[in-house]
Amino acid sequence: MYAVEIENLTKLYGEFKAVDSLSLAIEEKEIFGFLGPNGSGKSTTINCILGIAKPTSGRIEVCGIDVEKNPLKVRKICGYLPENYGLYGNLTAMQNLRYFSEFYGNFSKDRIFELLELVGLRDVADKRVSEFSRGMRQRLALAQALINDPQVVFLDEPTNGLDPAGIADFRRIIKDLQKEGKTVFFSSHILSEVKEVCSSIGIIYRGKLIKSGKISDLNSELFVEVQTEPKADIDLLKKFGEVKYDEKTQNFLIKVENDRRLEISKYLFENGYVVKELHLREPSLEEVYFNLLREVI
Amino acid sequence: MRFLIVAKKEFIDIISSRRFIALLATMVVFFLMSVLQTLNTGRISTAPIIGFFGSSSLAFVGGIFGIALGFDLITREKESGTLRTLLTHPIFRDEIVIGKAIAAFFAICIAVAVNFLFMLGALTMRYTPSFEDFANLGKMMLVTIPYLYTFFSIAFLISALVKNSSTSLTVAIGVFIVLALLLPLFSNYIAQAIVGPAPENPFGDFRNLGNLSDDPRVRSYVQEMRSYMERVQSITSSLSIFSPVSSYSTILNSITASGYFRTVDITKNLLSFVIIPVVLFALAYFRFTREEI
Ligand SMILES: Nc1ncnc2c1ncn2[C@@H]1O[C@H](COP(=O)(O)OP(=O)(O)OP(=O)(O)O)[C@@H](O)[C@H]1O
Ligand SMILES: [Mg+2]
Repeated sequence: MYAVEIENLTKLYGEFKAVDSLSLAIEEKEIFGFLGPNGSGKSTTINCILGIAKPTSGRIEVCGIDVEKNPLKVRKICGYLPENYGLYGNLTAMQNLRYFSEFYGNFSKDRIFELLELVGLRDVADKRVSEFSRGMRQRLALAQALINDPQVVFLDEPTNGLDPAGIADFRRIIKDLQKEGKTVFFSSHILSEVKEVCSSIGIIYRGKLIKSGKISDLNSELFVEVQTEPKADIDLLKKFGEVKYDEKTQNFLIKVENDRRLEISKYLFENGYVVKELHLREPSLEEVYFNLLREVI
Repeated sequence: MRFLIVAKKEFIDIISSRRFIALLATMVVFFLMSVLQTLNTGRISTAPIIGFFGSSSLAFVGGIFGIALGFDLITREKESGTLRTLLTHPIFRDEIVIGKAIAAFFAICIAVAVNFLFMLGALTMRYTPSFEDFANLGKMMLVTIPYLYTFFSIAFLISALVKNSSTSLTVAIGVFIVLALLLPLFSNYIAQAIVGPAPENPFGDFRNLGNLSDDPRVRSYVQEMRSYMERVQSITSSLSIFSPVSSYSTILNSITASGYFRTVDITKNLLSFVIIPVVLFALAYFRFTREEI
Protein backbone atom coordinates (compact mmCIF):
# COMPACT_ATOMS: atom_id res chain seq x y z
CA MET A 1 0.00 0.00 0.00
CA TYR A 2 1.17 3.48 -0.82
CA ALA A 3 0.98 6.36 1.61
CA VAL A 4 -0.21 8.61 -1.17
CA GLU A 5 -1.39 7.47 -4.54
CA ILE A 6 -2.52 9.94 -7.17
CA GLU A 7 -3.90 8.83 -10.47
CA ASN A 8 -4.40 11.23 -13.33
CA LEU A 9 -5.21 14.22 -11.19
CA THR A 10 -6.39 17.26 -13.10
CA LYS A 11 -7.50 20.49 -11.51
CA LEU A 12 -8.98 23.29 -13.56
CA TYR A 13 -9.53 26.84 -12.39
CA GLY A 14 -11.88 27.99 -15.11
CA GLU A 15 -9.99 27.20 -18.28
CA PHE A 16 -6.65 27.17 -16.53
CA LYS A 17 -5.02 23.81 -15.79
CA ALA A 18 -3.37 24.20 -12.40
CA VAL A 19 -2.66 20.46 -12.25
CA ASP A 20 -2.49 18.44 -15.43
CA SER A 21 -3.03 14.64 -15.37
CA LEU A 22 -0.61 14.12 -12.56
CA SER A 23 0.11 10.60 -11.34
CA LEU A 24 2.28 9.91 -8.36
CA ALA A 25 2.84 7.21 -5.78
CA ILE A 26 4.68 7.68 -2.54
CA GLU A 27 5.81 4.77 -0.44
CA GLU A 28 5.10 4.66 3.26
CA LYS A 29 7.76 6.00 5.62
CA GLU A 30 9.22 8.08 2.85
CA ILE A 31 10.20 11.74 2.99
CA PHE A 32 9.01 13.05 -0.30
CA GLY A 33 10.12 16.43 -1.61
CA PHE A 34 7.81 18.16 -4.04
CA LEU A 35 9.73 20.62 -6.16
CA GLY A 36 8.67 23.14 -8.72
CA PRO A 37 8.83 26.80 -9.60
CA ASN A 38 6.26 29.32 -8.31
CA GLY A 39 2.78 28.71 -9.57
CA SER A 40 3.56 25.22 -10.85
CA GLY A 41 0.73 23.61 -8.89
CA LYS A 42 2.36 22.28 -5.73
CA SER A 43 -0.10 23.80 -3.28
CA THR A 44 -3.02 22.93 -5.52
CA THR A 45 -1.95 19.29 -5.58
CA ILE A 46 -1.66 19.20 -1.79
CA ASN A 47 -5.06 20.86 -1.44
CA CYS A 48 -6.58 18.22 -3.68
CA ILE A 49 -5.00 15.41 -1.69
CA LEU A 50 -6.53 16.78 1.49
CA GLY A 51 -9.88 17.38 -0.11
CA ILE A 52 -9.78 21.14 0.39
CA ALA A 53 -9.88 21.66 -3.35
CA LYS A 54 -12.11 19.48 -5.45
CA PRO A 55 -10.25 17.71 -8.26
CA THR A 56 -11.71 18.19 -11.72
CA SER A 57 -10.83 14.59 -12.46
CA GLY A 58 -8.61 11.84 -11.17
CA ARG A 59 -8.42 9.64 -8.14
CA ILE A 60 -6.49 10.16 -4.92
CA GLU A 61 -5.90 7.70 -2.12
CA VAL A 62 -4.15 8.27 1.18
CA CYS A 63 -3.14 5.04 2.94
CA GLY A 64 -5.63 3.25 0.74
CA ILE A 65 -8.52 5.58 1.61
CA ASP A 66 -10.25 7.35 -1.23
CA VAL A 67 -10.22 11.08 -0.55
CA GLU A 68 -13.38 11.92 -2.39
CA LYS A 69 -15.42 9.13 -0.85
CA ASN A 70 -14.07 9.40 2.63
CA PRO A 71 -12.68 12.87 3.24
CA LEU A 72 -13.11 12.78 7.00
CA LYS A 73 -11.21 9.53 7.40
CA VAL A 74 -8.35 10.93 5.36
CA ARG A 75 -8.23 14.13 7.40
CA LYS A 76 -8.05 12.13 10.59
CA ILE A 77 -4.79 10.50 9.55
CA CYS A 78 -3.27 13.53 7.83
CA GLY A 79 -1.55 16.62 9.08
CA TYR A 80 -1.16 19.78 7.07
CA LEU A 81 1.02 22.82 7.33
CA PRO A 82 -0.51 25.38 5.00
CA GLU A 83 1.29 27.95 2.91
CA ASN A 84 0.28 30.99 4.93
CA TYR A 85 0.19 29.57 8.45
CA GLY A 86 -3.61 29.66 8.62
CA LEU A 87 -3.75 30.36 12.33
CA TYR A 88 -6.15 32.48 14.36
CA GLY A 89 -4.38 35.73 15.18
CA ASN A 90 -6.76 36.63 17.97
CA LEU A 91 -6.07 33.39 19.82
CA THR A 92 -2.95 32.37 21.69
CA ALA A 93 -0.70 29.55 20.54
CA MET A 94 -2.28 27.32 23.15
CA GLN A 95 -5.84 28.26 22.16
CA ASN A 96 -5.12 27.65 18.50
CA LEU A 97 -3.84 24.15 19.13
CA ARG A 98 -6.59 23.47 21.59
CA TYR A 99 -9.27 24.42 19.08
CA PHE A 100 -7.88 22.17 16.36
CA SER A 101 -7.36 19.28 18.75
CA GLU A 102 -10.98 19.37 19.86
CA PHE A 103 -12.09 18.04 16.50
CA TYR A 104 -10.36 14.77 17.29
CA GLY A 105 -12.20 14.49 20.56
CA ASN A 106 -9.03 13.81 22.50
CA PHE A 107 -7.92 17.15 23.76
CA SER A 108 -4.99 16.87 26.13
CA LYS A 109 -3.10 19.79 27.55
CA ASP A 110 0.00 17.67 27.99
CA ARG A 111 0.04 16.73 24.36
CA ILE A 112 -0.21 20.40 23.38
CA PHE A 113 2.62 21.39 25.68
CA GLU A 114 4.65 18.55 24.26
CA LEU A 115 4.09 19.87 20.75
CA LEU A 116 4.89 23.44 21.76
CA GLU A 117 8.06 22.16 23.34
CA LEU A 118 8.92 20.28 20.16
CA VAL A 119 8.70 23.40 18.01
CA GLY A 120 10.31 25.61 20.64
CA LEU A 121 7.28 27.70 21.56
CA ARG A 122 6.72 26.47 25.10
CA ASP A 123 7.54 29.89 26.56
CA VAL A 124 5.06 31.77 24.40
CA ALA A 125 2.15 29.37 24.76
CA ASP A 126 -0.09 32.13 26.06
CA LYS A 127 0.93 34.84 23.65
CA ARG A 128 -1.47 35.89 20.93
CA VAL A 129 -0.51 34.65 17.49
CA SER A 130 -1.01 38.12 16.01
CA GLU A 131 2.03 39.15 18.04
CA PHE A 132 4.11 36.28 16.67
CA SER A 133 6.97 36.71 14.23
CA ARG A 134 6.88 34.97 10.89
CA GLY A 135 9.12 32.15 12.02
CA MET A 136 7.15 31.66 15.23
CA ARG A 137 3.98 31.32 13.21
CA GLN A 138 5.64 28.78 10.98
CA ARG A 139 6.70 26.78 14.04
CA LEU A 140 3.20 26.90 15.44
CA ALA A 141 1.79 25.86 12.11
CA LEU A 142 4.03 22.81 12.22
CA ALA A 143 2.77 21.95 15.71
CA GLN A 144 -0.75 22.35 14.35
CA ALA A 145 0.05 19.88 11.57
CA LEU A 146 1.11 17.30 14.13
CA ILE A 147 -1.80 17.81 16.51
CA ASN A 148 -3.49 14.52 15.64
CA ASP A 149 -0.32 12.44 15.51
CA PRO A 150 -0.87 11.97 11.77
CA GLN A 151 0.24 9.07 9.60
CA VAL A 152 0.98 11.30 6.64
CA VAL A 153 2.13 14.89 7.05
CA PHE A 154 1.84 17.46 4.30
CA LEU A 155 4.03 20.49 4.65
CA ASP A 156 3.73 23.35 2.22
CA GLU A 157 7.02 25.22 2.24
CA PRO A 158 7.68 24.44 5.87
CA THR A 159 10.96 26.29 6.28
CA ASN A 160 9.56 29.57 5.02
CA GLY A 161 10.67 32.27 7.43
CA LEU A 162 12.63 29.98 9.73
CA ASP A 163 16.00 30.95 11.12
CA PRO A 164 18.94 28.50 10.84
CA ALA A 165 18.08 26.99 14.21
CA GLY A 166 14.50 26.66 13.09
CA ILE A 167 15.58 24.90 9.92
CA ALA A 168 17.74 22.52 11.92
CA ASP A 169 14.83 21.87 14.29
CA PHE A 170 12.58 21.25 11.36
CA ARG A 171 14.96 18.72 9.82
CA ARG A 172 15.30 16.93 13.08
CA ILE A 173 11.54 16.83 13.51
CA ILE A 174 10.78 15.37 10.13
CA LYS A 175 13.55 12.82 10.40
CA ASP A 176 12.09 11.81 13.76
CA LEU A 177 8.70 11.55 12.14
CA GLN A 178 10.13 9.21 9.57
CA LYS A 179 11.70 7.10 12.30
CA GLU A 180 8.27 6.83 13.91
CA GLY A 181 7.04 5.34 10.66
CA LYS A 182 5.28 8.40 9.28
CA THR A 183 5.29 9.62 5.74
CA VAL A 184 6.25 13.21 5.09
CA PHE A 185 5.26 15.06 1.94
CA PHE A 186 6.69 18.51 1.63
CA SER A 187 6.91 21.13 -1.02
CA SER A 188 9.83 23.44 -1.33
CA HIS A 189 11.87 25.66 -3.57
CA ILE A 190 14.98 25.10 -1.58
CA LEU A 191 16.91 22.34 -3.27
CA SER A 192 19.62 21.98 -0.65
CA GLU A 193 16.96 21.39 1.95
CA VAL A 194 15.28 18.76 -0.17
CA LYS A 195 18.58 17.03 -0.80
CA GLU A 196 19.30 17.06 2.90
CA VAL A 197 16.17 15.36 4.11
CA CYS A 198 14.28 13.71 1.27
CA SER A 199 14.52 10.14 0.17
CA SER A 200 12.50 10.73 -2.98
CA ILE A 201 11.34 13.71 -4.95
CA GLY A 202 8.92 14.80 -7.59
CA ILE A 203 9.34 17.78 -9.85
CA ILE A 204 6.28 19.57 -11.12
CA TYR A 205 6.19 22.15 -13.85
CA ARG A 206 3.05 23.90 -15.11
CA GLY A 207 0.89 21.32 -13.43
CA LYS A 208 2.69 18.37 -14.97
CA LEU A 209 4.89 15.98 -13.07
CA ILE A 210 8.08 15.94 -15.09
CA LYS A 211 10.13 13.67 -12.88
CA SER A 212 9.76 11.57 -9.79
CA GLY A 213 11.69 8.90 -8.02
CA LYS A 214 14.37 8.16 -5.47
CA ILE A 215 16.99 10.85 -5.21
CA SER A 216 19.68 8.25 -5.82
CA ASP A 217 18.05 7.19 -9.09
CA LEU A 218 17.63 10.70 -10.32
CA ASN A 219 21.29 11.34 -10.96
CA SER A 220 21.19 9.30 -14.10
CA GLU A 221 23.90 11.30 -15.75
CA LEU A 222 27.30 10.31 -14.49
CA PHE A 223 30.56 11.93 -15.51
CA VAL A 224 34.17 11.01 -15.05
CA GLU A 225 36.31 14.06 -14.73
CA VAL A 226 39.90 13.50 -15.73
CA GLN A 227 43.08 15.53 -16.16
CA THR A 228 46.20 14.11 -17.71
CA GLU A 229 49.77 15.14 -18.27
CA PRO A 230 50.29 15.86 -21.13
CA LYS A 231 46.82 16.69 -22.39
CA ALA A 232 45.29 13.55 -23.82
CA ASP A 233 43.92 13.20 -27.31
CA ILE A 234 40.18 13.75 -27.12
CA ASP A 235 39.47 10.98 -29.65
CA LEU A 236 41.17 8.52 -27.41
CA LEU A 237 38.62 9.11 -24.67
CA LYS A 238 35.58 8.91 -26.93
CA LYS A 239 35.47 5.13 -26.64
CA PHE A 240 34.15 5.59 -23.08
CA GLY A 241 31.38 8.02 -23.93
CA GLU A 242 30.63 11.56 -24.93
CA VAL A 243 33.56 13.83 -24.11
CA LYS A 244 33.71 17.51 -23.35
CA TYR A 245 36.80 19.54 -22.58
CA ASP A 246 36.62 22.29 -20.03
CA GLU A 247 39.21 24.97 -20.87
CA LYS A 248 39.10 26.57 -17.48
CA THR A 249 39.80 23.53 -15.38
CA GLN A 250 41.60 21.71 -18.20
CA ASN A 251 39.53 18.68 -17.36
CA PHE A 252 37.85 16.24 -19.68
CA LEU A 253 34.29 15.37 -18.82
CA ILE A 254 33.33 11.93 -20.00
CA LYS A 255 29.70 10.99 -19.82
CA VAL A 256 29.55 7.40 -18.65
CA GLU A 257 26.90 4.83 -17.92
CA ASN A 258 28.59 3.62 -14.79
CA ASP A 259 31.77 4.10 -12.83
CA ARG A 260 34.58 3.34 -15.31
CA ARG A 261 37.41 5.13 -13.58
CA LEU A 262 39.66 2.09 -13.34
CA GLU A 263 39.43 1.28 -17.03
CA ILE A 264 39.97 4.88 -18.00
CA SER A 265 43.05 5.35 -15.88
CA LYS A 266 44.54 2.07 -17.07
CA TYR A 267 43.88 2.91 -20.68
CA LEU A 268 45.38 6.38 -20.37
CA PHE A 269 48.42 4.99 -18.63
CA GLU A 270 48.94 2.41 -21.38
CA ASN A 271 48.80 5.25 -23.89
CA GLY A 272 51.53 7.17 -22.13
CA TYR A 273 49.56 9.68 -20.15
CA VAL A 274 49.88 10.37 -16.46
CA VAL A 275 46.57 10.80 -14.71
CA LYS A 276 46.78 13.90 -12.50
CA GLU A 277 43.20 13.95 -11.40
CA LEU A 278 40.37 11.54 -11.73
CA HIS A 279 36.99 11.52 -10.12
CA LEU A 280 33.40 10.65 -10.57
CA ARG A 281 30.98 13.51 -10.80
CA GLU A 282 27.30 13.32 -10.12
CA PRO A 283 25.25 16.29 -11.08
CA SER A 284 23.88 18.21 -8.12
CA LEU A 285 20.18 18.33 -7.52
CA GLU A 286 20.29 21.87 -8.87
CA GLU A 287 21.71 20.63 -12.13
CA VAL A 288 19.18 17.83 -12.39
CA TYR A 289 16.42 20.27 -11.62
CA PHE A 290 17.49 22.93 -14.06
CA ASN A 291 18.34 20.41 -16.76
CA LEU A 292 14.89 18.92 -16.46
CA LEU A 293 13.23 22.30 -16.58
CA ARG A 294 15.32 23.28 -19.57
CA GLU A 295 14.18 20.12 -21.31
CA VAL A 296 10.50 20.82 -20.86
CA ILE A 297 10.49 24.54 -21.50
CA MET B 1 -21.66 17.49 17.47
CA ARG B 2 -18.54 18.97 15.98
CA PHE B 3 -20.41 22.13 15.01
CA LEU B 4 -20.68 22.87 18.71
CA ILE B 5 -16.89 23.13 18.90
CA VAL B 6 -17.03 25.75 16.17
CA ALA B 7 -19.99 27.46 17.82
CA LYS B 8 -18.25 27.67 21.17
CA LYS B 9 -15.09 29.17 19.72
CA GLU B 10 -16.98 31.61 17.52
CA PHE B 11 -19.23 32.69 20.37
CA ILE B 12 -16.27 33.51 22.58
CA ASP B 13 -14.63 35.28 19.64
CA ILE B 14 -17.69 37.43 19.03
CA ILE B 15 -18.53 38.45 22.56
CA SER B 16 -14.93 39.19 23.44
CA SER B 17 -14.34 41.26 20.31
CA ARG B 18 -13.98 45.02 20.60
CA ARG B 19 -16.48 45.42 17.84
CA PHE B 20 -19.20 43.59 19.71
CA ILE B 21 -18.57 45.45 22.92
CA ALA B 22 -18.46 48.86 21.23
CA LEU B 23 -21.65 48.27 19.29
CA LEU B 24 -23.44 46.85 22.28
CA ALA B 25 -22.44 49.92 24.27
CA THR B 26 -23.75 52.14 21.47
CA MET B 27 -27.02 50.28 21.47
CA VAL B 28 -27.38 50.60 25.23
CA VAL B 29 -26.64 54.32 25.07
CA PHE B 30 -29.29 54.82 22.40
CA PHE B 31 -31.78 52.93 24.48
CA LEU B 32 -31.05 54.80 27.65
CA MET B 33 -31.01 58.22 26.06
CA SER B 34 -34.39 57.65 24.57
CA VAL B 35 -35.83 56.06 27.70
CA LEU B 36 -34.70 59.02 29.75
CA GLN B 37 -36.05 61.47 27.21
CA THR B 38 -39.44 59.80 27.24
CA LEU B 39 -39.46 59.71 31.00
CA ASN B 40 -38.62 63.40 31.12
CA THR B 41 -41.70 64.26 29.14
CA GLY B 42 -43.61 62.89 32.08
CA ARG B 43 -45.32 60.09 30.22
CA ILE B 44 -44.64 57.21 32.46
CA SER B 45 -45.39 54.22 30.28
CA THR B 46 -43.37 51.80 28.25
CA ALA B 47 -45.64 52.02 25.25
CA PRO B 48 -44.29 55.31 23.86
CA ILE B 49 -40.75 54.20 24.54
CA ILE B 50 -41.21 51.13 22.46
CA GLY B 51 -43.09 52.98 19.78
CA PHE B 52 -40.30 55.51 19.56
CA PHE B 53 -37.55 52.96 19.39
CA GLY B 54 -39.25 50.66 17.02
CA SER B 55 -39.26 53.22 14.31
CA SER B 56 -35.96 54.89 14.99
CA SER B 57 -32.82 54.35 16.97
CA LEU B 58 -32.96 50.71 17.79
CA ALA B 59 -34.00 49.64 14.33
CA PHE B 60 -31.06 51.52 12.93
CA VAL B 61 -28.36 50.71 15.45
CA GLY B 62 -29.64 47.16 15.64
CA GLY B 63 -29.44 46.69 11.89
CA ILE B 64 -25.86 47.87 11.89
CA PHE B 65 -25.14 45.62 14.85
CA GLY B 66 -26.44 42.59 12.98
CA ILE B 67 -24.39 43.45 9.92
CA ALA B 68 -21.24 44.07 11.94
CA LEU B 69 -21.59 40.62 13.44
CA GLY B 70 -21.83 38.81 10.15
CA PHE B 71 -20.05 40.60 7.35
CA ASP B 72 -16.61 39.09 7.91
CA LEU B 73 -17.50 35.88 9.67
CA ILE B 74 -16.54 33.84 6.61
CA THR B 75 -14.36 36.25 4.63
CA ARG B 76 -11.98 36.67 7.57
CA GLU B 77 -11.32 32.94 7.55
CA LYS B 78 -10.83 32.93 3.81
CA GLU B 79 -8.41 35.85 3.97
CA SER B 80 -6.30 34.54 6.80
CA GLY B 81 -6.20 31.01 5.44
CA THR B 82 -7.66 29.61 8.65
CA LEU B 83 -10.52 28.12 6.69
CA ARG B 84 -8.07 25.96 4.84
CA THR B 85 -6.36 24.82 8.02
CA LEU B 86 -9.68 24.18 9.68
CA LEU B 87 -10.87 22.08 6.77
CA THR B 88 -7.90 19.74 7.01
CA HIS B 89 -9.14 18.70 10.40
CA PRO B 90 -12.10 16.36 10.61
CA ILE B 91 -14.90 18.86 10.12
CA PHE B 92 -17.26 19.50 7.23
CA ARG B 93 -18.01 22.85 5.77
CA ASP B 94 -21.66 22.72 6.71
CA GLU B 95 -20.71 22.18 10.33
CA ILE B 96 -18.65 25.36 10.17
CA VAL B 97 -21.59 27.35 8.78
CA ILE B 98 -24.00 25.96 11.34
CA GLY B 99 -21.56 26.52 14.19
CA LYS B 100 -21.09 30.15 13.23
CA ALA B 101 -24.81 30.73 12.83
CA ILE B 102 -25.48 29.31 16.29
CA ALA B 103 -22.71 31.39 17.82
CA ALA B 104 -24.12 34.58 16.33
CA PHE B 105 -27.59 33.71 17.57
CA PHE B 106 -26.43 33.39 21.14
CA ALA B 107 -24.30 36.53 20.89
CA ILE B 108 -27.40 38.41 19.72
CA CYS B 109 -29.43 36.99 22.58
CA ILE B 110 -26.79 38.21 25.01
CA ALA B 111 -26.81 41.68 23.45
CA VAL B 112 -30.58 41.90 23.63
CA ALA B 113 -30.64 40.66 27.21
CA VAL B 114 -28.14 43.33 28.21
CA ASN B 115 -30.32 45.98 26.61
CA PHE B 116 -33.37 44.60 28.35
CA LEU B 117 -31.70 44.84 31.72
CA PHE B 118 -30.56 48.39 31.10
CA MET B 119 -34.02 49.47 30.01
CA LEU B 120 -35.60 47.87 32.99
CA GLY B 121 -33.02 49.52 35.18
CA ALA B 122 -33.75 52.91 33.72
CA LEU B 123 -37.47 52.44 34.30
CA THR B 124 -37.06 51.34 37.89
CA MET B 125 -35.15 54.51 38.60
CA ARG B 126 -38.39 56.37 38.01
CA TYR B 127 -41.08 54.04 39.19
CA THR B 128 -41.88 50.41 39.79
CA PRO B 129 -42.59 48.88 36.40
CA SER B 130 -45.95 47.22 36.17
CA PHE B 131 -46.42 43.75 34.82
CA GLU B 132 -47.54 45.32 31.56
CA ASP B 133 -44.32 47.30 31.26
CA PHE B 134 -42.42 44.15 31.86
CA ALA B 135 -44.43 42.28 29.26
CA ASN B 136 -44.07 45.10 26.74
CA LEU B 137 -40.34 45.20 27.13
CA GLY B 138 -40.16 41.43 27.00
CA LYS B 139 -42.15 41.29 23.76
CA MET B 140 -40.02 44.03 22.32
CA MET B 141 -36.88 42.07 23.10
CA LEU B 142 -38.34 38.89 21.67
CA VAL B 143 -38.90 40.70 18.40
CA THR B 144 -35.53 42.38 18.52
CA ILE B 145 -33.68 39.06 18.53
CA PRO B 146 -34.96 37.86 15.14
CA TYR B 147 -34.67 41.41 13.81
CA LEU B 148 -30.96 41.56 14.59
CA TYR B 149 -30.58 38.01 13.39
CA THR B 150 -32.17 38.87 10.06
CA PHE B 151 -29.55 41.53 9.45
CA PHE B 152 -26.90 39.17 10.63
CA SER B 153 -28.03 36.57 8.11
CA ILE B 154 -27.94 39.13 5.31
CA ALA B 155 -24.34 40.00 6.14
CA PHE B 156 -23.49 36.33 6.65
CA LEU B 157 -24.70 35.45 3.18
CA ILE B 158 -22.70 38.29 1.67
CA SER B 159 -19.69 37.04 3.58
CA ALA B 160 -20.14 33.64 1.99
CA LEU B 161 -20.55 35.14 -1.47
CA VAL B 162 -17.56 37.48 -1.73
CA LYS B 163 -13.84 36.96 -1.32
CA ASN B 164 -12.79 39.61 1.14
CA SER B 165 -14.06 41.54 4.12
CA SER B 166 -13.89 45.02 2.63
CA THR B 167 -16.06 44.01 -0.32
CA SER B 168 -18.40 42.26 2.05
CA LEU B 169 -18.75 45.34 4.24
CA THR B 170 -19.37 47.61 1.27
CA VAL B 171 -22.07 45.36 -0.15
CA ALA B 172 -23.66 44.83 3.26
CA ILE B 173 -23.88 48.56 3.93
CA GLY B 174 -25.40 49.05 0.49
CA VAL B 175 -28.03 46.44 1.22
CA PHE B 176 -28.66 48.00 4.60
CA ILE B 177 -29.27 51.40 3.06
CA VAL B 178 -31.70 49.91 0.57
CA LEU B 179 -33.58 47.97 3.23
CA ALA B 180 -33.48 50.52 6.01
CA LEU B 181 -33.95 53.74 4.07
CA LEU B 182 -35.02 53.28 0.48
CA LEU B 183 -37.52 50.46 0.70
CA PRO B 184 -39.64 52.01 3.51
CA LEU B 185 -39.68 55.24 1.55
CA PHE B 186 -40.72 53.54 -1.62
CA SER B 187 -43.34 51.40 0.03
CA ASN B 188 -45.16 54.56 1.06
CA TYR B 189 -44.99 55.98 -2.45
CA ILE B 190 -46.13 52.73 -3.94
CA ALA B 191 -49.00 52.39 -1.48
CA GLN B 192 -50.16 55.93 -2.13
CA ALA B 193 -49.90 55.43 -5.87
CA ILE B 194 -52.13 52.36 -5.61
CA VAL B 195 -54.70 53.78 -3.23
CA GLY B 196 -54.91 57.21 -4.81
CA PRO B 197 -55.28 60.60 -3.15
CA ALA B 198 -56.62 60.94 0.37
CA PRO B 199 -60.33 61.86 0.74
CA GLU B 200 -60.87 65.59 0.85
CA ASN B 201 -61.72 67.32 4.07
CA PRO B 202 -65.06 69.02 3.43
CA PHE B 203 -64.07 71.90 5.69
CA GLY B 204 -60.60 72.50 4.37
CA ASP B 205 -59.12 72.60 7.82
CA PHE B 206 -59.60 70.52 10.92
CA ARG B 207 -59.78 73.60 13.09
CA ASN B 208 -63.02 74.59 11.44
CA LEU B 209 -64.64 71.38 12.57
CA GLY B 210 -65.39 72.90 15.95
CA ASN B 211 -68.28 71.09 17.60
CA LEU B 212 -69.72 69.96 14.32
CA SER B 213 -68.78 66.39 15.08
CA ASP B 214 -72.43 65.44 14.87
CA ASP B 215 -72.53 66.66 11.31
CA PRO B 216 -73.08 63.65 9.01
CA ARG B 217 -70.46 65.07 6.57
CA VAL B 218 -67.89 64.96 9.34
CA ARG B 219 -68.81 61.43 10.24
CA SER B 220 -68.61 60.25 6.66
CA TYR B 221 -65.30 62.04 6.24
CA VAL B 222 -63.87 60.36 9.33
CA GLN B 223 -65.17 57.06 8.00
CA GLU B 224 -63.56 57.57 4.61
CA MET B 225 -60.32 58.69 6.10
CA ARG B 226 -60.18 55.69 8.33
CA SER B 227 -60.70 53.20 5.53
CA TYR B 228 -58.19 55.11 3.40
CA MET B 229 -55.58 54.85 6.11
CA GLU B 230 -56.28 51.17 6.52
CA ARG B 231 -55.78 50.51 2.84
CA VAL B 232 -52.50 52.43 2.77
CA GLN B 233 -51.39 50.66 5.87
CA SER B 234 -52.20 47.23 4.56
CA ILE B 235 -50.19 47.82 1.39
CA THR B 236 -47.17 49.27 3.16
CA SER B 237 -47.27 46.44 5.63
CA SER B 238 -47.28 43.91 2.81
CA LEU B 239 -44.31 45.63 1.24
CA SER B 240 -42.60 45.98 4.56
CA ILE B 241 -42.20 42.25 4.70
CA PHE B 242 -39.20 42.73 2.47
CA SER B 243 -37.71 45.36 4.71
CA PRO B 244 -36.78 44.04 8.13
CA VAL B 245 -36.66 47.64 9.36
CA SER B 246 -40.27 48.23 8.42
CA SER B 247 -41.34 44.86 9.72
CA TYR B 248 -39.72 45.65 12.98
CA SER B 249 -41.48 49.00 13.39
CA THR B 250 -44.76 47.49 12.32
CA ILE B 251 -44.52 44.74 14.88
CA LEU B 252 -43.40 47.07 17.67
CA ASN B 253 -46.14 49.52 16.86
CA SER B 254 -48.69 46.79 17.04
CA ILE B 255 -47.39 45.54 20.38
CA THR B 256 -48.19 48.93 21.90
CA ALA B 257 -50.90 49.67 19.41
CA SER B 258 -53.50 52.32 19.61
CA GLY B 259 -55.82 53.89 17.10
CA TYR B 260 -55.61 53.04 13.43
CA PHE B 261 -52.74 50.63 13.71
CA ARG B 262 -54.41 48.23 16.06
CA THR B 263 -55.97 46.25 13.27
CA VAL B 264 -52.77 45.63 11.36
CA ASP B 265 -52.02 41.99 10.91
CA ILE B 266 -48.41 41.32 11.86
CA THR B 267 -48.32 37.61 11.10
CA LYS B 268 -46.61 38.28 7.79
CA ASN B 269 -43.98 40.43 9.44
CA LEU B 270 -43.31 37.88 12.11
CA LEU B 271 -43.05 35.17 9.51
CA SER B 272 -40.63 37.27 7.49
CA PHE B 273 -38.27 37.25 10.45
CA VAL B 274 -38.21 33.50 10.25
CA ILE B 275 -38.34 33.01 6.51
CA ILE B 276 -35.74 35.63 5.51
CA PRO B 277 -32.97 34.25 7.74
CA VAL B 278 -33.79 30.67 6.79
CA VAL B 279 -33.69 31.41 3.07
CA LEU B 280 -30.50 33.44 3.39
CA PHE B 281 -28.87 30.66 5.40
CA ALA B 282 -29.85 28.09 2.87
CA LEU B 283 -28.19 30.24 0.21
CA ALA B 284 -25.07 30.87 2.32
CA TYR B 285 -24.85 27.19 3.11
CA PHE B 286 -25.29 26.21 -0.51
CA ARG B 287 -22.68 28.65 -1.66
CA PHE B 288 -20.15 27.95 1.05
CA THR B 289 -20.21 24.19 0.67
CA ARG B 290 -19.45 24.52 -3.02
CA GLU B 291 -16.97 27.34 -3.04
CA GLU B 292 -13.36 27.01 -4.16
CA ILE B 293 -11.08 28.37 -1.50
N1 LIG C 1 -8.24 29.66 -6.37
C1 LIG C 1 -7.60 29.78 -7.53
N2 LIG C 1 -8.21 30.31 -8.60
C2 LIG C 1 -7.59 30.44 -9.78
N3 LIG C 1 -6.34 30.04 -10.03
C3 LIG C 1 -5.66 29.50 -9.02
C4 LIG C 1 -6.25 29.34 -7.72
N4 LIG C 1 -5.33 28.77 -6.92
C5 LIG C 1 -4.23 28.58 -7.67
N5 LIG C 1 -4.42 29.01 -8.93
C6 LIG C 1 -3.45 28.95 -10.02
O1 LIG C 1 -2.94 27.65 -10.11
C7 LIG C 1 -1.57 27.66 -10.34
C8 LIG C 1 -0.86 26.80 -9.33
O2 LIG C 1 -0.92 27.43 -8.06
P1 LIG C 1 -0.26 26.81 -6.77
O3 LIG C 1 -0.61 27.67 -5.65
O4 LIG C 1 -0.63 25.38 -6.70
O5 LIG C 1 1.30 26.95 -7.11
P2 LIG C 1 2.55 26.55 -6.21
O6 LIG C 1 3.31 25.56 -6.98
O7 LIG C 1 2.11 26.19 -4.86
O8 LIG C 1 3.34 27.91 -6.19
P3 LIG C 1 4.24 28.58 -5.04
O9 LIG C 1 5.56 27.93 -5.13
O10 LIG C 1 4.31 29.99 -5.43
O11 LIG C 1 3.55 28.35 -3.75
C9 LIG C 1 -1.12 29.11 -10.34
O12 LIG C 1 -0.90 29.51 -11.65
C10 LIG C 1 -2.27 29.85 -9.74
O13 LIG C 1 -2.42 31.09 -10.36
MG1 LIG D 1 2.40 27.00 -3.04
